[in-house]
Amino acid sequence: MIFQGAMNALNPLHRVGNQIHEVIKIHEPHVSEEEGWERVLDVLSRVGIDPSRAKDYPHQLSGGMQQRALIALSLVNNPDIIMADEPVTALDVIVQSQVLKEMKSLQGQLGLSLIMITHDLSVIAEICDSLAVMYAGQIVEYGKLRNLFKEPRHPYTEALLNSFPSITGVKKELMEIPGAPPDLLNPPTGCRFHPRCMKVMDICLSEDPKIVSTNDKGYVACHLY
Amino acid sequence: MMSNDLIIEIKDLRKYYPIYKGFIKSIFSKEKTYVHAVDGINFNIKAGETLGLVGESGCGKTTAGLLLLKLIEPTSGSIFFQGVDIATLSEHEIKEIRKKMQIIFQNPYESLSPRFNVLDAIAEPLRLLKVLKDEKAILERVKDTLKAVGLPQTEDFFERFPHELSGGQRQRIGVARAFVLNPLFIVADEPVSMLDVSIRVGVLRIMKELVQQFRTGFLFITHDLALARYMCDRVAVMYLGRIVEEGKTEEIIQNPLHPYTKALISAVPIPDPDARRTKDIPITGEVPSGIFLPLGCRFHPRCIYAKEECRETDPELVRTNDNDHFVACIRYNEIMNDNN
Repeated sequence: MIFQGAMNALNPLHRVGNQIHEVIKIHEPHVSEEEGWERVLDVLSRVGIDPSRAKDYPHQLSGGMQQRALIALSLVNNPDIIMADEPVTALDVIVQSQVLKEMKSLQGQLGLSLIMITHDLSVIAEICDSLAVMYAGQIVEYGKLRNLFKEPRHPYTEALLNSFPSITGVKKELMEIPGAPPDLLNPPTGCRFHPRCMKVMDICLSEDPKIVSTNDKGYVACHLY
Repeated sequence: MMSNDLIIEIKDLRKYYPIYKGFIKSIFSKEKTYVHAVDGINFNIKAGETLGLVGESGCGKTTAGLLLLKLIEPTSGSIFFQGVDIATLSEHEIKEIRKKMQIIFQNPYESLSPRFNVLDAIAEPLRLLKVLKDEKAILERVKDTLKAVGLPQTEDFFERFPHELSGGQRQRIGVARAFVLNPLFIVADEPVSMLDVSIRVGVLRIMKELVQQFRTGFLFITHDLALARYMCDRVAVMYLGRIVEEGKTEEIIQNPLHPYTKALISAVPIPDPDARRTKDIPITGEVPSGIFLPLGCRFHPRCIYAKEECRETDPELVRTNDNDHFVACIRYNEIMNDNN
C-alpha cells in the first residue's frame, strides 16, 4: 500500500531505513538481520534514493524522496499487488512526473499489479492500462484505458473528460458537471448520477441501471445501453 | 485612471525573511542569513487582464501575491497601484486602497469563519470598510453577488453556515466575498486546488466571467500550467524568487524558451493515453533552498544546457524577438536553435 501524503505516512521519530527494515522483521521473521538490511539498501537504490540516506529521518528527505521511500516500503516484501492511493497528488509537477516514471518502470521490472486510486485523469492516462470510473459508491464504467478515453460510454465518464484541462492540443472550452457529489446517507433513487446527468431519461429516476457488458470486456452501468 | 488601464505595476520587489539563530550564536556571529522568498520581480497587470503566476512550491508565488496586497511588508521595491506607490504607505493610509484590492484563498474549508453564516460572510467586507451603511442596501448587494457566483438567493441559504455547504459552494462564497466590493484588483491563490475535479470548472468559469464583467486585474497563482492555460491571458513562470519567463499564455506553452519552463511543461501529465511521452524530462534534482542560492543563474545546477558562463552570470529578464515574450537565460537563442 502506498499512501497519499508522504509527509504524514512515515513515522517522524524513526530512521527511514529502520522503518523499511521493520516491515521485513514483521512479515518475514526468518530473514536474518544482515540479509534484511541488504534488502533495505537494495530497495532504496531501486527507487532512486542513495542507500546512504537510510540513516536519515523523514524530515531530512524532500517530499519526492519521502514518497519514494514509501514506495520502497511497499516493495520490500516483494508483493504481487500494490495499491497506491493518490501517490503523487502531494507532489510538485516535476517531481510527480519523476515518481510516476519510477513507478511505471518498477512495475515493468518486477511484474507487479498496480491499483492506482486517483482523481487525476491525466495521471491515469500516463500510467494505467485499464480504468474503472466510480461514482457515489458504485463503479459506473470499466474498460481498457484507451477505449474509455476515446469513446466514453457513461455520461459521467464523458463529463469528467470534458472538465479536465490539457496543456496540449487545441485549447478547448471546459464543460462543468452541474451540482455537487451526492450525499451518500440517502443517495438519489434509480441511477445515482441522474440529478447531474445531461442525458437523463424517465427510467433513470426510478430504476437502478443494470451492468451491461461492452465488446471489449469492459462494462457500463447506464440505461442508454 | 491611467491612460493604459494599468492597475498594478511592481518594480524590483523583494522579500527576505531573516533566519533567527540561537542567542549564543548571535553573540559570536554578526552575520545574518535570509530566505530569499521573492528576489527582485517586475510585472504589471491591466484592467480585465489575468496574469498567471506559475511555479513549484516554495518558489515564492504566494509571498508575491501577499506582497502585492501589502498583507506583508516588502523588504524593498515598489508596488504602484493605479500609479500610487503603496509599498511605503502606512497601515492607516492604505485602508482606503484596501477596498479596491481583494484576495481569494486556497482552502475554502479554512478560509471561512465557521461562525459566520452566508449573509454575514459576504456582507462583512461591506460593513468593515463601511462601503454601504444601510442594511437594506447591503442585502441587495449580497443578493446580486450571490446571483453572479451562481448561488441561490433565498432566506434559507443566507442563514446557512459553512459546514452546511459543499466545497464548491464554499469557494463560491470566497469568490463572492472578493467581488462584493467591486475591486480593481484580485489575487487568487490556488483557488481551485482543493476542489473536486467535477466542480472546479464551474468556479473557474465564474471567476473568468466576473473578471471580464468588472474589468478586474486578476493575479492567478497556480502550480498547474494546464489550469493557467484555461484562465490566463499572460503567464509568468517563477523559480526561486525570480521570474524566469513571461509572455502570452499560448506563446509560452507552444514556444517555451527557458529550460525550466520547458521542463515544467514537459512534466505536466496529459489526459490522453495516446499522447504518452517517451521523452525524459530534461531536469534533475529538486528545488534548492532559498537560503544559500546557487551563484550565477539560479537554475544552473539542474539545467541540462548549463555552461561555465551560467555559473557566473546572473541572467536578467530580457525581451526576445517576439514583443511580449521575456526570458531570463543567457543561452536562450542557442537553445532555441538546438530544438529545430
